[in-house]
Amino acid sequence: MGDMRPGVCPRGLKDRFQAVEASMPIKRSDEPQSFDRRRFLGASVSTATLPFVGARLEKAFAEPEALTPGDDSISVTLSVNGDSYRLGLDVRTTLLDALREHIGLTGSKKGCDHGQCGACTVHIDGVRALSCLTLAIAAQGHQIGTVEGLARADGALHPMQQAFVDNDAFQCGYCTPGQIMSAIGCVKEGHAGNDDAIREYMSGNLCRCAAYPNIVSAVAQAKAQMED
Amino acid sequence: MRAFVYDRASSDVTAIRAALAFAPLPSVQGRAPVEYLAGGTTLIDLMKLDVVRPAKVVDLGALAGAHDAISVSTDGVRLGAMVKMAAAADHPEIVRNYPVVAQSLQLAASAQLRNMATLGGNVLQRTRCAYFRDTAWTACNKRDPGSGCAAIDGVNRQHAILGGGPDCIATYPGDFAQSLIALDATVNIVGSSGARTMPFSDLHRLPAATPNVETVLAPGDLITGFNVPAGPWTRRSLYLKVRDRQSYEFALASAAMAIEMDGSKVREARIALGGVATVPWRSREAEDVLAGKTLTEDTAQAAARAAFANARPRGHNAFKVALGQSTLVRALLQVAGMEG
Amino acid sequence: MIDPAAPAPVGNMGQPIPRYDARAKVTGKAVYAADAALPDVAYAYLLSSRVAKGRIKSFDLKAARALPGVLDILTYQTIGGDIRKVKYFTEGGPASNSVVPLGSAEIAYAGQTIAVVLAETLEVAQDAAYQIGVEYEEQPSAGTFDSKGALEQELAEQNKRHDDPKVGDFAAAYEAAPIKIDVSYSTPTQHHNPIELFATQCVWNGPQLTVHEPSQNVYGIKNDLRPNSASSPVKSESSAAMSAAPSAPRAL
Repeated sequence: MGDMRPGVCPRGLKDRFQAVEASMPIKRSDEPQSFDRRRFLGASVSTATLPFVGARLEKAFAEPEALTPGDDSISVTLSVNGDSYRLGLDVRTTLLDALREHIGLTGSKKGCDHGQCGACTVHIDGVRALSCLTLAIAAQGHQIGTVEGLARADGALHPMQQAFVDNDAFQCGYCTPGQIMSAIGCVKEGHAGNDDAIREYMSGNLCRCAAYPNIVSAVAQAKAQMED
Repeated sequence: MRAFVYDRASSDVTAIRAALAFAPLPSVQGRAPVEYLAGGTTLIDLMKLDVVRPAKVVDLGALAGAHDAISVSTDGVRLGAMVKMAAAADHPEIVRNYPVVAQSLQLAASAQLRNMATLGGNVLQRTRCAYFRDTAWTACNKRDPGSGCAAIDGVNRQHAILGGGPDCIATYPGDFAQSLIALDATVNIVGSSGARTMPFSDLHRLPAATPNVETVLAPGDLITGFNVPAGPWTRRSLYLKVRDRQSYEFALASAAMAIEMDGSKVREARIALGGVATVPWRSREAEDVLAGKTLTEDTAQAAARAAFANARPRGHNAFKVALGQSTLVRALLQVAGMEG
Repeated sequence: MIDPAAPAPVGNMGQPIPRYDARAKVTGKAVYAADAALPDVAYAYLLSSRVAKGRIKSFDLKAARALPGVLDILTYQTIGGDIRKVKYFTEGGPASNSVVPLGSAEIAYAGQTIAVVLAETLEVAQDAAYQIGVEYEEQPSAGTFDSKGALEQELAEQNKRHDDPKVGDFAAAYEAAPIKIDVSYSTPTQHHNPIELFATQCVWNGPQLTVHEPSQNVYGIKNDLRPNSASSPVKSESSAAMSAAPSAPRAL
């Protein structure tokens, strides 16, 4: 787009070149010290208009003051791959960042952070969805599945994972977890009936290494096995 | 994202109350105080870009059960506002009897987005104008009334040729809304003044001098559903979308149409145009040309010329006039060949 | 003379052997630069220039600094002298950019990093970056070949090894051609970037610096990133101070 000027703040496509990150320690319910610096706020679904940033909001209404993020955090419990994780999060934390930075499940990838590339695809209640556009707190109470939850306990790969290996459906592998999660959803939705359907219904997953033809073959192979 | 207060509503009433009860604090004046969160595919994206900065977000997730029904009767189809795009796109009755609705959803976004996005949120999606989406461009009347419009003399390849003006030419990018326009759907809204139903075509406002006001919704208003009336035109309908890529891309030009035939003549045509206008666009100009005529390439071309007679191209989007016309023609000839 | 017949397969040539990293990649276990689990680190978020050419007149960091969780904000005013020019990657060095980051108030291109926010969480770092006020003195930028200010240089001036191939006399041949076709085409800029984001993780362990970086140029980066070396981008006084500090997070 011509001479587009960049933003005051990093955003969108510019972010992908400039985010400098470091991982945060795994925060699980067996590491209570993660709450040392943070005020624990009980999490419950409101039946009235009770917001989650409870203590600070009540104070804010009493005395008008700037809404500031603090080290106030909210307690969010996420069910991921059948395990329960109790986390202290910023209300702004996306499901993707909760998985990667707070739980340490780095299989789901950040490719664009704006729902355009599909690398962050996970399953929410068995349905493929984009974790970068989902607030972690909104994912509370739902069953989340990531690529790490696919292989069996004995190490056997999910048919889709095996199909990706058999068909060499990746090169750098960065889009691969999102492709696999998306492909499983594609098959379960009944949208993998033929190659054209696979291409159409997998269009939300980009692959810069252009492994697309092999991804289509992999999905077709796995579909046959998943329906056995 | 900027800091915000998160609230999770349990019902329509608590959602509206949460939206209306939140008095913006002095230090956050100037920010849209409250936004509803449904699928999040528009809101979270724009919050990350710092384009939308609510002081409070009211999560409607718990309302899904109350508003996610699709009911089909002899009167038509009722679609709850929390129905996911994917659910409506694949619904067998909609696919069979209201193909324009099904196709306008199937051809939109990506599979993951269609799983997440609700119909209510979808019709309220914001423009893809690159200047609107980039806060480095301070001239954007939609974000900041009175600041100007960077697109008018900028790179406006994807901008509107219908319904725009000197203050804004941002394209309405949605597809599903075009099918609602073409089929004369109504929309159900609840708010502080109670519940009401109105023509869907009344929902969106032309930008005119206030492009920051995109709909007639009052603060706290909640869309609860859509009603698509049955009729002899619904089965002979389709959505044609022309875009730079075969999939997962917004329309450069699109056409939603439903035709009622009287033998070989058009009794009534219903036409909406996407990708070319600032709001969902009903083209009565094209419909008037077709009424009572046999549908041929000539009459289709005449309808297309009428549809774009008042098109106002800019520096980079003049191609949309011809593209919009040929999209309309192609859609007409295709729908003529369908069974009613 | 090349033998057109394909050579006979040797070893596992021609066999569909899975990549040795296949299992790691399909199970999400492959560790990319951003995936490496480093303990107790901070997040850095980069602010880019709103203008393509000009200079920074002033920063207003008050609101950003006031956010709880912000550790520091680096600008040319705070660390301008601490980073120096290093060798370009074509010379075996780490730099892919001739502009020293945070080196001065000058802005040379759209997207130039003008501040680095360090914070305890990603969300706070982003929020603080949004709240940095910058006053610019904007100058006209040259973004296309025809822009005022665009420079034209012979390639041989830039690269001594370049040898302009010259065949025949184009001007005379074109002048004499019975049919002349003179058309201009343009294509949009293509950035052939991989889908993996650039994300640097780094940690000090006493004097040792470990950097996780998605790059083809790991040796170039390693060669010149050594603190205390003459070719390091970090001046030796600063690097000595850094390596003496406890293994706290840094952004380089």
